Amino acid sequence: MESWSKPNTNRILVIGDDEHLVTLLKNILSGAGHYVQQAYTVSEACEMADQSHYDLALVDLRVSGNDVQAILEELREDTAFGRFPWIALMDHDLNPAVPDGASGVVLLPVRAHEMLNTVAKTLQYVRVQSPSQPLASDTAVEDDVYQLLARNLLEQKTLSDIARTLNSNLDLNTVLTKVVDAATLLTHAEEALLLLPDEDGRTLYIRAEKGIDNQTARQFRIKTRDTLAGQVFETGKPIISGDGGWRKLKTAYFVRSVLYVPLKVKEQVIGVLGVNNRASDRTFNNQDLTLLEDLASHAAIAIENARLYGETVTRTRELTTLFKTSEAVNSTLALDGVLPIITQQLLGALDVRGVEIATWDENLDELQVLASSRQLFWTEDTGPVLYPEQHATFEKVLQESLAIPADLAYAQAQHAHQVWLVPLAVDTKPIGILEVHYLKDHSDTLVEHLSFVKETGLTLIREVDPSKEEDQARARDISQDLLEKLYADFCRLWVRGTDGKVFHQRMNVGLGVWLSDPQPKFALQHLAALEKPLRDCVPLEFVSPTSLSPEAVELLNYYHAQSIQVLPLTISGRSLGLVILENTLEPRSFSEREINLAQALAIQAANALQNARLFHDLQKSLEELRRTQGKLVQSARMSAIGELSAAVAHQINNPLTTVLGDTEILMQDKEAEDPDMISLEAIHRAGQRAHEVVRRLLSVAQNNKEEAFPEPMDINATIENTLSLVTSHIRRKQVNLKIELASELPKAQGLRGQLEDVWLNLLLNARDAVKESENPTIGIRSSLSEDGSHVQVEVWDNGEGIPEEQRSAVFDAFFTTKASGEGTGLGLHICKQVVNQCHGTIQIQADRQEGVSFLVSLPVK
Amino acid sequence: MSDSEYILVVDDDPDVLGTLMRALKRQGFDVGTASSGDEALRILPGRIPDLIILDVIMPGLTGFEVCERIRGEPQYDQVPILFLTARGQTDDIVTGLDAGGDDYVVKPFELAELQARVRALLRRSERDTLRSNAQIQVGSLTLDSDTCQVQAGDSESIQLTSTEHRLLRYLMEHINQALSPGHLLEAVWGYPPSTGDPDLVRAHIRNLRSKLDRLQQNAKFIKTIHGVGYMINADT
Repeated sequence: MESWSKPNTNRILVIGDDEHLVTLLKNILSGAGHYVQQAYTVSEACEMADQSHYDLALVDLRVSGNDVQAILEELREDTAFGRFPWIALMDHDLNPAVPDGASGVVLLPVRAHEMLNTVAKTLQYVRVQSPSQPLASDTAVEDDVYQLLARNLLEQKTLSDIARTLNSNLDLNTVLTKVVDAATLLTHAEEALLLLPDEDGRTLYIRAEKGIDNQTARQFRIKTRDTLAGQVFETGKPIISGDGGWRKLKTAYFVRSVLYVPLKVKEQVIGVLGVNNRASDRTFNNQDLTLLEDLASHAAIAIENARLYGETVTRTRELTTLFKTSEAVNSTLALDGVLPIITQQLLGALDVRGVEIATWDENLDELQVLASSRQLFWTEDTGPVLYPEQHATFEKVLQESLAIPADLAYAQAQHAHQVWLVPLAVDTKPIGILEVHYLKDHSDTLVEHLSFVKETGLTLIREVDPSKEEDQARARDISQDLLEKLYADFCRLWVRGTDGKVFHQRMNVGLGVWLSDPQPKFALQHLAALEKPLRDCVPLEFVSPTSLSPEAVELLNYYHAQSIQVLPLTISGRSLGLVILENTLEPRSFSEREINLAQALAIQAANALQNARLFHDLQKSLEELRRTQGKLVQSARMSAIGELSAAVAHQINNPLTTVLGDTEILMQDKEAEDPDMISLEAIHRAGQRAHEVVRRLLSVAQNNKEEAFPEPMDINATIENTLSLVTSHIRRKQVNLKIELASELPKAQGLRGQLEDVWLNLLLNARDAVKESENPTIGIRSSLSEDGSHVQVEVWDNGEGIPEEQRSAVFDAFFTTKASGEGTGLGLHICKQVVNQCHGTIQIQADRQEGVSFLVSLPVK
Repeated sequence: MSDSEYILVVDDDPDVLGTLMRALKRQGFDVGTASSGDEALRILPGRIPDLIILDVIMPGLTGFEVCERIRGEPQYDQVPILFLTARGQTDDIVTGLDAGGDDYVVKPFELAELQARVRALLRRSERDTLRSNAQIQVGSLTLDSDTCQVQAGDSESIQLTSTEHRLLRYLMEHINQALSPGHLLEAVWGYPPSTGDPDLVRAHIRNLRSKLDRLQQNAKFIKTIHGVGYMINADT
């Protein structure tokens, strides 16, 4: 006799030789919990009925070789059949009347539900009729049967549902969750878990669970050897166990009964599906085993599909990322264009929250951050904190509820040009501060949008739970909109802590590039953990809270991060810098594949850096070349001018000799008051001017006086000589010219004919400088220095002035601020040479409100 | 014909020639004119001038070539020559002075300045005829004022132009004094203060040095005192 695992399992005999039909019946009936056996003929059935007990028989009245009447006859005659009821299976086109002796009829083709109903009814009827059956009560029987049926139906439905869902779902996490859900449902287990192997196949870890409330159990990593699950994984055979009392699944984790089945794809075990009971005494049976195995076979395929799909998606994403990055790297050579793209790609592709790209200055041994992309969020206990009383500006912002730029020191410490602090208050009670960072310029845009900024800040405080991913995404979008509107680079949110004193940083979002100061820099000696990846060119991972070196802890604290990946930026084995990837809320470990992707991206970043550097160098040398060429052209031009001027001088000076000479002759004859004198003087002046033009032309052209010896001379006279030449020229251009010459100046050292050049150059420069001024005014002033040692001449204007950074260069040869072609860049250079030869000095007066003033000091001897 | 000093003016530009003639005549000089070098050489023997004013750039013979030929004739040896030049020909000036010119004037010139220089050159010329015959020696350098020749130790003698001779002599008479170009213009050329061009002094010094170099390589007989002027080197 068979042993029964269920009290309400019935033994059913199916009589028929249509294999297809019999198999179908078997499946349906055993699915409903019955035990089914087959007989091919009625006589065989009779023999079997003699030997064992059956609760019911299903007779295919189409059994070959007999006509229906003969079969019915045979059945009626058999004593054994008299003891249990039978149901006739008939083609539905036959007379549907119940044959004599049969308890019911099932029409073919079989409809499972209908048949199970007929079976159940018949069995129930028999039990009621037969008091010899040991039954608790009539209703109990009824309940049992219904329960069984209901349960079987549920199981079938669950299985087919799950099969459908699994097949339509390609997200691995969803698939896994559904599988464990179904496992508990089908087996009535307290807990279900799905274990998948890690990359090397030595450890199984829980990828999905249901009902496990033990924190440690959730983080199980089970060795494939020496454990039940491991055994299932290794052998591919299920384990069912329930009678052995408490079983230890893992240190300090005990269960009463377990049922583990393998997940197989093409005979390959890909994981283990298991159910446990910890509290209940219920043990798992073969029925559960069959169900779980069915589920496992659906699950395995779905998991494999999802895995393959996931891999395809990941691969596509990786390729897209790499493609985009390399496109970016190749499309521009400007670092400020490439770096943001690379940081963004890293952020997206590797699912980290912060990316920094830093170059290594070998000489200073420090890292200089070039770009940073942040989507950092912190909970109160993990992020940076701020004590407002330690920062005057913060105090002020809070007390006066005023949006103001932070003091310069704070901005510099944050590596920004300007940091705005916006108080966020509810009913005048400040609950937070929003920091808005401008890395390159100052901006007042924020003031225009102040109420919007405040509103946004408050929304962020109220509606964002930093630990929720969907909130983070929303906060990120809100912040990015804000940054775009304000043309800002980063925004940070400080939220007042529960104690009211400390502010906690909840959020730091933005994207910034620093190509010059205030670049964030840190000396390597302060972050020793970065040394290894930098010097050995290897990627390194620091994940909290696994046992960490003090250096690693220091690094994680520095970034307020839970995990950090560091990738070297290398070009031909040489370290250029690092890529630092941060996760602030959850520790994240990289798979080998992620490391590979990250490294591929890091290589792109390194290439971009290298390209940009090479490009920069190239541009510098091109610029150098252009300058040199410019000088060559200039000097060639000068020598051409020199030759030309000599020729011109000859041509012009001859007639001038006559003009001036004869005018002088006439003037020598005239009395001072002679009316002709005015005309003669005018002719003489005009001749002098023409002469001076030629002289200047020559003096510029031959700028190579070998030896010049200064002589004491009347400086005012040299100024007046010059003024006679240029005054009308200057005044014609609507420029006011103020002349203040001190009387009775002593003679000072000068070079005949050359000091005039100095005054001329300075006056003409001044004139050019006031071209755009409202009330253009220039002036020349002579005086004696306080100690009487120098005669000083100041030439000034009220023009634009010279930017401080250019002041040191103005005396260099070929330096000019005038548009190309307008200035030779030689004027001030010549001035300086002449003044130096006179043992004097020339300098720019720095302390002026407007315009420029040149002060020439010539020694009195 | 009077006893007035006679000045020969040579220039190819008739206007310049006219201006100079009028200007000098007003000062009481007799003025002869030539409009080319050839013409100048042709009329020269007719009356030996007390001063020749010579334009440098002319068609045919240049002023310098004319100067060289004049200096080649002993009877014109002592006639001062003043060049008229366009500015910006420093190298040419050196050549001209080396050819035996005494000074140059850059066109266009102040009439008063030209008149002052003309008078100074004429005065000097008179003074030179009265000069002592004495030799003068500084260090290894010996200058013979009779012959305008100079030698270092036992070296060969080298001929100097009269202006070079006067310049060197003045330097040798003022050992251990740095003399500025302005000072030298007054003392050697006899110019009133602020007359004359410091370039003239430099050009003569340059010529003088290159001649002295031939006596003894790298001897540096004339030192430049930076920012001040020139000084004879007594330590040679």
